[in-house]
Amino acid sequence: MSKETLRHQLDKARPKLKVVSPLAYWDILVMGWFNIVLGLTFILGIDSARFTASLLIVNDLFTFDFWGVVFIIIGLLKLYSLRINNWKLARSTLFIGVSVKAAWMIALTIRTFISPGTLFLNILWVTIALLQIGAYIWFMPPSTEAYGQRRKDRD
Amino acid sequence: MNEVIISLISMVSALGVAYIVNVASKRVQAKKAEKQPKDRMEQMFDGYERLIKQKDVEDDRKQRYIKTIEEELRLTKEHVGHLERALEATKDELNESRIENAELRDKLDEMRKEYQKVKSENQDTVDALTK
Repeated sequence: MSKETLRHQLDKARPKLKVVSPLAYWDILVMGWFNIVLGLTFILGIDSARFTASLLIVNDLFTFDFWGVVFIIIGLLKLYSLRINNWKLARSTLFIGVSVKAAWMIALTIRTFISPGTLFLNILWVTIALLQIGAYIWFMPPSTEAYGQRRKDRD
Repeated sequence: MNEVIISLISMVSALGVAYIVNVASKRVQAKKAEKQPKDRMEQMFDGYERLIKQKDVEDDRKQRYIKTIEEELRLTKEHVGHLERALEATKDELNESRIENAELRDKLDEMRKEYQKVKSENQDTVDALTK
């Protein structure tokens, strides 16, 4: 049996994320579609001219279009990782999502204190960010590299 | 300017949050690993490892079997060589024996003819004396 065939069989033998951790699977799936919808909304649905002050302070550095592309890419990568059952990619996209959402969460929180009007949006965003953080910390199984490292430590 | 500072604070804070989340995730995974030292993936990998070891043992056994067969083949070839040489020698002996037999048969025939000749001469002598 050649190495390539063995590797192919090992890749196929990896259990589906949906079976190992359904919560992580659904979180990534929902967040993936959420990111795509949010990204499309940023690009197509928001008229920047209507905002006299930026809704999200981060956008003073980066435009709505930029964040729209970022969210769409993250969303597509999330769905792609589920499609090919790549746990490492799923973990990475979840972690990138956590970082981006944390930045927006901090920005919205600061904005809530310095100018009223974004409290409800802030609560929603914090909830989403916490869900993603929780999924990453407690529900996401480690990637195969982590298994390999633990095996080396054990041996 | 104020909003740029807030943006920078957001970015730096996000990095902090990401670091904390990453560390927390590793700790949770480590605790899970301690509670469940062998999960499904590791069991599966161990299974593959055992299979590979079994195949290694099987390969070693085949290697030993091949060496045994090669030794048997060498001995058999030597034996065949001995048999071939013995066959050639026996054939030579057979040929020599046949040649000797032919010579002896010729001598016997000559002796038999000579005897018949002497016998007939003696008979003639006896017949002449009795007349």
